[in-house]
Amino acid sequence: MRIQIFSITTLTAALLIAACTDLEPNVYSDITMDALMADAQQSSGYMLSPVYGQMRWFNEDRSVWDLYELGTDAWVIPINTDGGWNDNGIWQRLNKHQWLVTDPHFSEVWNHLWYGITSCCNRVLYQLETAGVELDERTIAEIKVARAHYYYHLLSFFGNVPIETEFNVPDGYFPQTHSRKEVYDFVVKEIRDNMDKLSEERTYSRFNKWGAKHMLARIYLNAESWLGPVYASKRDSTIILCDEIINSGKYSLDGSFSHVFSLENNTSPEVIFAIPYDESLGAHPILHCIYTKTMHYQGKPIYNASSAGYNGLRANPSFVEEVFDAQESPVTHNLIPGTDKDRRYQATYLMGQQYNYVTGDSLFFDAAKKIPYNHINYIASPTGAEEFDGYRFGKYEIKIGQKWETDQDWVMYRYAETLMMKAECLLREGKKDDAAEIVNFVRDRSFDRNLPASERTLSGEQLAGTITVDGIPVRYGEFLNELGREFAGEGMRREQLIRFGVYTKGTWWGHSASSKDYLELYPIPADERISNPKLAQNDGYPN
Amino acid sequence: MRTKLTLSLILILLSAAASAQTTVHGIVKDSSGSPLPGVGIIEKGTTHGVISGIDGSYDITVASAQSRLEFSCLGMKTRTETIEGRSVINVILEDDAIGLEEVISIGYGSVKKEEITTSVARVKADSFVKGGVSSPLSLLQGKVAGLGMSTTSGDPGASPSISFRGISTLAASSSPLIVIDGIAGGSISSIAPEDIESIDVLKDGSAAAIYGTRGTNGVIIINTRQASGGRFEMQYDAYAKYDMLEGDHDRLTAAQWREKMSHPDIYPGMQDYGADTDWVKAISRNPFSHNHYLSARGSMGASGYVASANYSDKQGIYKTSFDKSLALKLGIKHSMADGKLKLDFNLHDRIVKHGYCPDELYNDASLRNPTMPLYNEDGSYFQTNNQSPLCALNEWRGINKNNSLSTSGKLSYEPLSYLTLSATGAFQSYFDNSEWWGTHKTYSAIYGGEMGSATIGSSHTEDYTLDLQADWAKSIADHNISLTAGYSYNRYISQTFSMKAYDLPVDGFGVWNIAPAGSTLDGLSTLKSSKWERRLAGFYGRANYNWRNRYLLMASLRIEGSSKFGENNRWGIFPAVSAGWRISNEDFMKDVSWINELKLRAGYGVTGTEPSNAYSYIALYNFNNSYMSYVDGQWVNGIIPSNNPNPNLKWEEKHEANIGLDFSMLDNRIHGSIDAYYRHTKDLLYNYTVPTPPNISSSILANVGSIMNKGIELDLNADIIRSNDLSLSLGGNISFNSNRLLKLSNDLYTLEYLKLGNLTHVQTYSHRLEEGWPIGNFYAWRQLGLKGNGTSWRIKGAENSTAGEDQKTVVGNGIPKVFAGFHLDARWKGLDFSISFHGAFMYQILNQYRMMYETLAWLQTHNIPKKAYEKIGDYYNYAPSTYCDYYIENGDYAKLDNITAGYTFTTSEGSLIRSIRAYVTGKNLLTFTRYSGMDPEAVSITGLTPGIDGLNKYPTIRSITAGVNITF
Repeated sequence: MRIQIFSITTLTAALLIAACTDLEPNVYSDITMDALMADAQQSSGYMLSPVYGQMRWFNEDRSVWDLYELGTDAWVIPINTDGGWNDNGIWQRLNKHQWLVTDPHFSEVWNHLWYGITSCCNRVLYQLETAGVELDERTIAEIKVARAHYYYHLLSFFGNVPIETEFNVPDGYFPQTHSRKEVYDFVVKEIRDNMDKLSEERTYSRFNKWGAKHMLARIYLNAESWLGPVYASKRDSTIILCDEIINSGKYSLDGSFSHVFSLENNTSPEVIFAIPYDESLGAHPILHCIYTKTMHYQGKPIYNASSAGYNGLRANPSFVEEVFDAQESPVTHNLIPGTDKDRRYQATYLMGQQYNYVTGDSLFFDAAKKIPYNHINYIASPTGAEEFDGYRFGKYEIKIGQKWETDQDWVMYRYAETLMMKAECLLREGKKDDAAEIVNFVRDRSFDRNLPASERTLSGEQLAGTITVDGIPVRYGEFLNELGREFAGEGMRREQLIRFGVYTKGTWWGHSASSKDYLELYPIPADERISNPKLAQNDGYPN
Repeated sequence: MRTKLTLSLILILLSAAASAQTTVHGIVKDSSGSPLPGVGIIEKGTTHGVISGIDGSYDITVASAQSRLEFSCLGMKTRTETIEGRSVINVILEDDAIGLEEVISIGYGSVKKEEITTSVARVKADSFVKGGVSSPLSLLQGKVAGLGMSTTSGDPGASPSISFRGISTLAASSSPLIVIDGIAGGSISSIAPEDIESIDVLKDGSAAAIYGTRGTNGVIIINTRQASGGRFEMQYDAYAKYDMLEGDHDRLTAAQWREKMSHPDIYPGMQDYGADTDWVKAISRNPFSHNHYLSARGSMGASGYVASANYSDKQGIYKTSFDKSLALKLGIKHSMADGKLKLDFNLHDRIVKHGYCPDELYNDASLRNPTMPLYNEDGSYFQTNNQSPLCALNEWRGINKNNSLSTSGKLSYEPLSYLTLSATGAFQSYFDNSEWWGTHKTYSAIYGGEMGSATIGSSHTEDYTLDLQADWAKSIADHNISLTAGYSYNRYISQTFSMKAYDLPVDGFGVWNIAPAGSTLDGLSTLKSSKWERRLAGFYGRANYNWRNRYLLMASLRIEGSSKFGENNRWGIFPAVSAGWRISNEDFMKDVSWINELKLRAGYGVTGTEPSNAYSYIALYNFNNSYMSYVDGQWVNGIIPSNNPNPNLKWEEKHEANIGLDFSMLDNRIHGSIDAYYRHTKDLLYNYTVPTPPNISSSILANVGSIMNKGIELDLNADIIRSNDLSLSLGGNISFNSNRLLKLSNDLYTLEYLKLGNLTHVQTYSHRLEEGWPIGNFYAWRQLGLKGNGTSWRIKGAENSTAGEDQKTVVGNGIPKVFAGFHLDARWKGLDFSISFHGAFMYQILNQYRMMYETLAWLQTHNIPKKAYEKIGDYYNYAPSTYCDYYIENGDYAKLDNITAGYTFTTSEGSLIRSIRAYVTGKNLLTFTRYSGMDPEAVSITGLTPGIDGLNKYPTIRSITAGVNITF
């Protein structure tokens, strides 16, 4: 008996001791931190890829592009008659400048930009350093300039934001708001300290010396409107930076305006920095505004496309009418043929009757062929847009066989803007004829040279004068219009309107002037302020 | 000398053996006098033996008249007889004691029903829901107080959604732990409903705590048919089932459509396409299903076996939807070494072929213009702006084939009468292969880019369990003590892959030749694969103490670790204690003869919940092509963090107190129980918004909130008539639950409230949850009628302006506060009759169909509900679909869910067929409700967004079943 009990006890004990308590799980389909660190040298290329990859998010629906263009006189997303694009009124509020601190655009943009800074730049720098991967000076400089690029958009949209350069922060750490001035100083210093360490060769989709200088020039150009009249002094710096790019000889104007936005724009001599997309490799997120956001949902036959659009984004009718030198019939709202001397008019919009790419037949909305597929420069109402109301974003070449995934490369910084930034500074410095010379140099390719000079050039007087834009007298108004013609839809309009004092005082289709200057900054997203009590709300918004 | 003696001894023995060889015969019977076949009769001390025949007779030749015979049969007490010269030995074997009294599974063991101290409900096979069920869990519908169940889909393979004593978690799953034949985490899909003998439901925390980490949502213990001793028994069950739609939208026919068209001033823009089509009829049918079940069990000496096969062929309401399955079961028990060593082996395997269609077919069909023809003149589908449901039905096809295998073996050794050591190993595997493809005729092929598409995927899970356990039980005077200690290890591995190709060169391959697809040739076909695992290890112990069957005490403890937590928080401690007082066994109750049983119970227990993601605490990185970039002429993939890890993640803990009373009185004619519980879940897992920066992404899983549930459950049964020819019994249960979110924020993580439930079509959320609120509050505008000629709603608080968030308020709650079930069973001679009802009360439903389409805004494009053509107040409703209280309705319902009538034919003694019963069952025959939607029960009542009547759901069915049960 005793032996039996003993043996049972031993057996039981043996079983329990043998009992496995190994609870370290295998990780099969992810990379653990250890594996990442061990392979860091080898995979540093993959780790650095998001530094630029994240920038494709800028053109996702409800992202950076929307905040630069949809609160302006150039573009609008009305509510369709079938209720589409109502979305609780967020698009209406953008156009009317009646946004709420809770509107999803702000948190989306905030998250995308901060993800670029914290995860794609700060983290990668920290982890590669921790793993003992030595990055060369140029690569580190490039990451810092790319990070400054994310900060630049925060500076432009939200102004007063945290400044974070470290990934490894203690638990419970809450970043605090820095003033717009501090953020500006930080961004300028980052670019200045690093730009000359970058490559001088053309790099297209990466920041080189010239891309960095172009970005800094744009920041200086806007500084006065962000921080006050004393920053008018930065015009000199802008001109110097632009001249450096011009004198580098690396870039020149493309002979064709359309080629800059074509499927082959990687060959354009004008592109300084682009964000490439690819329909299979860089497929997600997509370049939304050029096709899906704007194309009608029956638009596939036009390009023999495999995907149609969501019928949202439309050109603001008042902008098309006012800015471009062309005439639309007051009855049909279609272009009166021959009245458009500026080639950029047709190169910017998808307009008029559309045709089946394969058969050449006219397209109709309905089976009875009563409603032609014809985009007109007219929108019935901000809350009741008919099927084909409004011109569409047509600046980028659409591929025959276009997919939902986009194959086009987004032009972020281009040489024409370098020239125009210089022209704007010269104009504001009183050198109107020097400015006109540059403006006409850029305009030249967009006009038939057989036209009389008066129809294709602008004089210094014209550019320097005060004209009515968006219902108010605007100094240098013609220059503002010229910016509108050249850069429509390129994500610059909001800054242009703010620089020329039109943003809160102008009136355009669907929008009345608010004259509330605080609207020149977007609100800090409400959700962020709930989770981080150290974030201050921008002036004017409910706290 | 010594040699001589040895030799002579051998000689003597040899001669004795030779001379004493003798024959014995006889008949073995059980205690009721029935002959027992298959009884093993062994001459003790040898390996020589025979087995009794079909009539219980045996015939054995043994070495000597002094030999001893051992009669053993599974499920019977082994008996030893010394021959003592007899030539005829008739033996009566008694049932093994354990078989006599009803025992209830309590997890890693069982106890006699009257000794239970926790809240456990048993449902036996004869009480199951009758007439063909789509999932074994549906057998419990309306049978257990506190178990809320809704069947949200009429798909022939659908599972019900279950809520148990309310909702006590936010992010984790609310489905209960399934234990099959002692294997925790059993795969319900591997068993046939007919194989289930009884289901025990561990309701309260003190009962479930032995399962520690997985017991929070209750434990459902399924006991399948086991090998048993006794004579061979074969059973054949078959039924045929005929279904129809349970409800239908009240919509216009083509003629009515044209009538409305004649008032274009009120109803503008309606189109007449000239046909007269019933779209619902075009895609649906009255399906016919049949089901066969054959099982056999018997014993061969110390071995017993059970084997069964179930074949089921079910059609769905949608014309191409079906569910076919074959379930096999094999169980073997063997007893060795004088019954000290026992082997128990079980195998379940179920193979399913499931044909599925898009769930939204019904909704699409019911909303389609009835004047549209099915086909164009050229035979192609008539479809202009959107897909024809007929095209979707015929040209999109999905098939899922799966195989659920569940196998277990248990070896137990009883070295001493009071000690049992056992080791159980179990392996479960689930393999599925799903196919989904569209032809060249689909809407997207004609109007879109993909000329045919094919998606094929597969998933495989493996689940390994090892349980080692020691049970010790002893009675010392009036003290009855039993102790259990054990160790359990579980490993779960899940792996999946899928491939998608499009632009198929021809139709007809389905998914089975994707190599020549255009997308494959272009390198655009997609491939995905992933794999993860989870490990659990636990040590558990339990003590039961019972003094004179009056005072009962149970205490248990489980210490469990999970690989889903970091090292610091990996192990959790889950104690439980419960006590019972059998008042009826007290001396002072001796004279109270009308009370047969009265027991007061109280218990307290802690259970845990782990996050659903296996790696939430580990920082993980992965490739993500959303972050690819184009570097120096090449696309380079990006590695980014794939989660926002929280190394401090820990167990979500539920603390539950339960008090209950079991009673039985008037000669056991009235019996039942009443339970009250209070459960408090703390450290609730939920995804919190964290600031970016410094966090890299804005959401993290953290333990923050707490939630409270309390309720009362009553179960009452009455046997009103109990005579040989006539019996009548009634039974019912009712449960009340209320819950409240106590806390949602702490110092680190803050949420003011949760916006839950995305109503995509009206682009807002449906529910809101704040501290102090119950889960499931609908948060919407209150309307005061239409305004602006009916173009918009007048919203309370914004009568003359545009309504916004500030005007929203709580307009209802989607969780039933009361569930009830009632049944009546009657028998008169061979005739049996039963009827059952169940219902849910005191809650609201958002009728999404009305919210979306009960407005003339959709007049031109949809066949909207008839009610939309009527005025609301002074106006016709032209307003866009709006989420407001107008569409929140009371959901209360009572369902006549089952009527069964059967007749059992008597058979003569000794005939091959022992009994035949034929029956007819009607299911879901009648619903008493004021809810205007199709079926209030089809609305999900679980999760954080309960009470939303989904638009795109597979409609539920009413059915008539006819069947036979034959026992051989």
